[in-house]
Amino acid sequence: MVNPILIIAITLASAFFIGILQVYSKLWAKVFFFLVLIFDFVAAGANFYGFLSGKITSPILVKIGGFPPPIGINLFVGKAEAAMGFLIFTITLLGAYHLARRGIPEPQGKAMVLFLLLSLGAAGITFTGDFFNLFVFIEITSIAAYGLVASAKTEKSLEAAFKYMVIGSISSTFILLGVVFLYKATGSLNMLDIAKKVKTFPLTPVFSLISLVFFAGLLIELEVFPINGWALDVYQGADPVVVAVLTGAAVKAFYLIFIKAGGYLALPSFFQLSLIFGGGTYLVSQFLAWRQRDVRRLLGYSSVAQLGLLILSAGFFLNNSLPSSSRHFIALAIVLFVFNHSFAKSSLFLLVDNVETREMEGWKGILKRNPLFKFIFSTSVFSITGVPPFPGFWAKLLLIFAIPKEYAWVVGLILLGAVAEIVYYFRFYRIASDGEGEKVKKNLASPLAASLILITGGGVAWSMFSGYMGIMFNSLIIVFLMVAAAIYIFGFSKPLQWTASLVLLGYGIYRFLPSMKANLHGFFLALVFFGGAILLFATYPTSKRLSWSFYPAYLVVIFSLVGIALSTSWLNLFVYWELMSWSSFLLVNMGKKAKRAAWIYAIFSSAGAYSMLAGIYLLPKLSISKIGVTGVLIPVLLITGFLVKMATSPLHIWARDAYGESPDEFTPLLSGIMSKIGVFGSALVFLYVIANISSGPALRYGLAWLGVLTAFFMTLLAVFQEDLKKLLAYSSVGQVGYILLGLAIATPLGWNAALYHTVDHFIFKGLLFVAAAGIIYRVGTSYLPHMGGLIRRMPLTFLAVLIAIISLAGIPPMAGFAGKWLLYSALIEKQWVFITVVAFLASTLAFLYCFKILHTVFLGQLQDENKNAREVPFPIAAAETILLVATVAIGAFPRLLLDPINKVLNKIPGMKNSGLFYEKTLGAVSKLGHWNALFLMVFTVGSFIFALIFFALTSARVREVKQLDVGYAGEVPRQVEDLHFGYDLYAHFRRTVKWLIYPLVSKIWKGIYEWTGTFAEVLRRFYTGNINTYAAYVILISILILHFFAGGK
Amino acid sequence: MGVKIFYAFIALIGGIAYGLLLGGISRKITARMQNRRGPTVFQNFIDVWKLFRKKTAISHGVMFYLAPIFRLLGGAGTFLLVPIVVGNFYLSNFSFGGDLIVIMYFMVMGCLGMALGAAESGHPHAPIGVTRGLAQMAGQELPFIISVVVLMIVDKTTSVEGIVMAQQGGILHWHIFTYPFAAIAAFISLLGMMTSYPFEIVMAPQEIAIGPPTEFSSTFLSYMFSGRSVFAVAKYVLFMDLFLGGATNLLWAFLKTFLIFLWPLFITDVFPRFKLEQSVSFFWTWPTLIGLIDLLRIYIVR
Repeated sequence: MVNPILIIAITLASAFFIGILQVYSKLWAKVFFFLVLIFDFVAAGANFYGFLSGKITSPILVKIGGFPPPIGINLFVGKAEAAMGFLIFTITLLGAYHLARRGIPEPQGKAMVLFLLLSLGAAGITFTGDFFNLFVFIEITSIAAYGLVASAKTEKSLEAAFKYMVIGSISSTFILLGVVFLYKATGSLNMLDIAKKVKTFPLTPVFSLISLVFFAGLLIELEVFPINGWALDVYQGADPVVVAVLTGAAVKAFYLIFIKAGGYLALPSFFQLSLIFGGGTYLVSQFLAWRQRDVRRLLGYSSVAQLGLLILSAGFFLNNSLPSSSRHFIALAIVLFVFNHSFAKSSLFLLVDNVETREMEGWKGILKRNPLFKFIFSTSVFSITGVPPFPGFWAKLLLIFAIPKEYAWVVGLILLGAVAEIVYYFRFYRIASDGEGEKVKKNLASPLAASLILITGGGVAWSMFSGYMGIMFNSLIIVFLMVAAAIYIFGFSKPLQWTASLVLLGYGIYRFLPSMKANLHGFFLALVFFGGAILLFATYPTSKRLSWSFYPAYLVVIFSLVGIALSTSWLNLFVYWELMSWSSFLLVNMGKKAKRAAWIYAIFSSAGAYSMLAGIYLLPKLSISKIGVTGVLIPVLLITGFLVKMATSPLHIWARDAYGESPDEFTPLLSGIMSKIGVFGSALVFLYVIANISSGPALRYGLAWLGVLTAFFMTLLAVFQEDLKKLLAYSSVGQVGYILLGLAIATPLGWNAALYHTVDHFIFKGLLFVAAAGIIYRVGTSYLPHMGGLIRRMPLTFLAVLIAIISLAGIPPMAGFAGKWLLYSALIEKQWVFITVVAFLASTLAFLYCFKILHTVFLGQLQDENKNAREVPFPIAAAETILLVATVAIGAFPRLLLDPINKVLNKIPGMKNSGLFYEKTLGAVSKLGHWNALFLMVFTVGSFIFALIFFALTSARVREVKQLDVGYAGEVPRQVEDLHFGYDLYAHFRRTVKWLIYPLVSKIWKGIYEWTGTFAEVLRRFYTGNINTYAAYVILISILILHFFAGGK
Repeated sequence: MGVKIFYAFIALIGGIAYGLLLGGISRKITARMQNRRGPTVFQNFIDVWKLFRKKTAISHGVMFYLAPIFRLLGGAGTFLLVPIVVGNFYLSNFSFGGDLIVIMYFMVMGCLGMALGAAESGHPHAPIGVTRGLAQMAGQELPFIISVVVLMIVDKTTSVEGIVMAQQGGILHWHIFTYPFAAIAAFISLLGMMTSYPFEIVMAPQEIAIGPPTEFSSTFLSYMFSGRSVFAVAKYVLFMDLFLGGATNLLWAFLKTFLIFLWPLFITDVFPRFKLEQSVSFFWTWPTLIGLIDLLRIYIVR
């Protein structure tokens, strides 16, 4: 244990000593400066460690000057204070180190003195046990801060410092007034003494008013909306290093005293006060940052928003009416938030110091050539926005689940703000990762340290979380995830990474084989594992050009999918879901032109995930199968999250570009497996939630329409795509619409159709995307008009694509037909007439793009630039062949797939009688009709072979002619003429359906984005930048606080 | 099974012959309406034979080579899946292979194979014709689907036999009388399926020089011709089964299919050609609306 008075005294004394020392030797002054900071850091660390390890059990009380409290001043250091002290000095040390490497602003001595005074003041605020002493330390901190803000000596920083000073004085006045009144009312200045007195004291309105004066002062310092214009100017104008220390250390000290005073003074309206100011600040600031292009101001808004969230949490923490377990969780969440924000935001501000421009455009492509910068930046951004496994994520989760249900709207508010946060932070991320920027100065040691602390903290938080919430994470999955991460860290060569990944996946299959039981979980688990293995296998040939982090991220996606499939509680599912979403975001973002697409993907998947989280929050029980839910809100919230992954219209607009621009090696997984995990989630919602509520049938009917309209419109859009992968993207989304339709029918036949199509769609669409990857690899483009005639160069791929297309189009005898047959039988049995018609029409429309793929890629004329294209590389061809064989085999013997599905459905109540039986001549028989798959296969293939032989024997002597040997317009075209009809194949049809393909949905989403931005712009005018108005706001708001919150006047 | 295959083969030969004959008849009637003498009704047999006997043929690649086979397979397969006389062992062919949904999707196979072969020819008119055909298909399918859904829902079956059985017991039980609007929609849709004028958009001889088959010659063309003929017969039989109560013997079958055959023929001979836009818009409005009447009816009555 180190006496906290030592920290304060030594720092204070040194501050003055440095001023003298630096006159003689600048170097020694600097050395001394660091020695002091290191001492502070070690001392604070020792105290914190003492509390953590249990060596210090009771709070440290230090009497100053020998007088016992309440007369004398004392220091009070409990666990929270020790932690905060440690945080303050860590941040200060990191900031000072950064400053020293960059160059301490002149005059150096004064800057160092102010720096020490700032950390001393913050520590004093934290440690002091006396209200008047607190005021003194606040003054020290503030004055040091004014000086440091001004030290950049730019016009902006001087202006900011002036504003800070004016508003800071008002705040100090309030605080001082509050302290004086407190003394008058209680006859004491000692915090613990007052707290004791307050308990026995009648809580008179006068007393409330007194403490309100104090809190009004604190709220100004805590930068609540709308009295934080000055703070934003400080964030924007001051030296970023100073800002890093201010936001990471000083403001957090103010926050701690806010909570402590809230507890000591027991202000009755504290809860409302923090709810309104915290919640309001949080939400408003998140939206104000929506269009912000100045990086520093953007980070400023984010800091203010995070503080708002902290104030909000403080209100819940101090609310005595909450159960103590909830308050305990909130306390944990607060610790995590403070810690997370301090380190992440400070490291971001320290990064800002490395970049010249303030405008976000100046950051364009900065991540590309600065791997370390990228690491720090990503860690910080992910942590602030709450991406697992960083502490921010766990904090948000803890906070949300600790908030009682009657404050559900607060949860909604938090999640809404979180979505806005992702919009602007990931726009920032998108710009920073787009293209190739310049190299930055190498002054990254301190933010790197902060990031590493954050990652460690994430691990600690996770272990705390899993312990406290009693969630049984599947430890096996965690091990696999860690190995996946190790593949990144050890950075093997990429073929080696590929091998390691396959081995890991193979071992995963071996370990999880017992879990692949005949139930929904096991069914999807098997799909993820075996499908994932085939698709992973096919990534090899192109692996050389992939990013280092491709395989680790790929594995994280697969093992999170495994985690989702194995989840037994919704919360567990959500955590894996987020992990899967964000690792797939990283994968999408690896595409060259995918930055915008990845950004939209991030927004939609996180909005979906938060909707799901809101649903989970509202559930009475977290276990997946046992939830007694009534009402329509929960299922809608839950299923929205899953529908986003399935890209069901109108949540589909991310899909085209995310599929189209993501790396070719990843797209098969995105379409084949990841969209299916959305199906899994939706199936769970249908099974356990929608089936049990009274409005279930109506909801199912609505979802059925959603599914069929998705199928229809996405198919229609696919018809007019000119990019191979985007065409397949729309096709994929449309097909998943059929699956949703099947689920929504909710009869045994409908679920048969849905589950069958789930696997079958993986098979043919996986094949198509894998083949697309091979084709694009060979011809170097995914633009359809630039292909053509490739049948002669890639016969195997053509065959595979042909069979896949036949399957996709649902033409018997391939596997795809069974899905169609089951679906239509189910629909007609259900008698949903209009839906049936639309579903039929959609599948007819699919023929249009099916032909388009085959024609523009393989048929017609071979383009000159593709003359030397070869067959796709072996692993891709092998994957194609496996999937091809599967399509034909299941086409002939659909029971290969239908029997396992029946076993799964037999486990589900109400689905027992599958509605299908098998007969020798009629094949599969439903109540309505029949279809004999084996006969059709034998008949088709047999007749085909028969006709072929007959034809070959009887036909004339066949002469092969050259490509251009055609009778066109009465003459043989010259060799140079391009007669390939490959662009805008359906121009005529487009003119007919122009009104149907109007991009209404994307316009609406775009409108929402734009309008929110405009609204934020209007709101932003509130900050006039004029100190007079700011001061006026402060006074006005303070009066309003005093008027409204003084508890029963 | 062997017997079945034998009879199916006989039926197939018969189907092709009937189809070719109907083609000849249509040429004759058209000629007479245009005040020409026209060829003999057996002209199509002569043509097929002539093409079949050609000494040489040209090919543009594998799919091109296979296209006539696909075409014949699609036509013959569809023909064999539709029962001509329900309940008759010899004349119900392979209808155990699948129900109406199977037939509807099987019908596409021939077109797809044909389309791929045509596309491989490298002749720009061929894919233009194909895309027109596919777009037209999207047009004509809507009214057809509506009427088929009406039938499947009211008869509570998806099998063609079931639909035929539901129409037994007198002429007024035929779906053409019980669900007239659905029938009208389907019969208008048939015009598109048979690519009769004004919906003759795929071949469009004056515009794209008969489009898809433009590069095919000699034996290839003879196979395609036969395939096309039997495919047409298959559609007539299907329509007979769906709307005219099926047939109790072969004579009725001939009579009813001949009646159905006449309908597109008469329309063909008096109309000029639509543009594709007009065609699809037409199908998506009038016959669809007509079909919707019956769909609404069963939606409300059910």
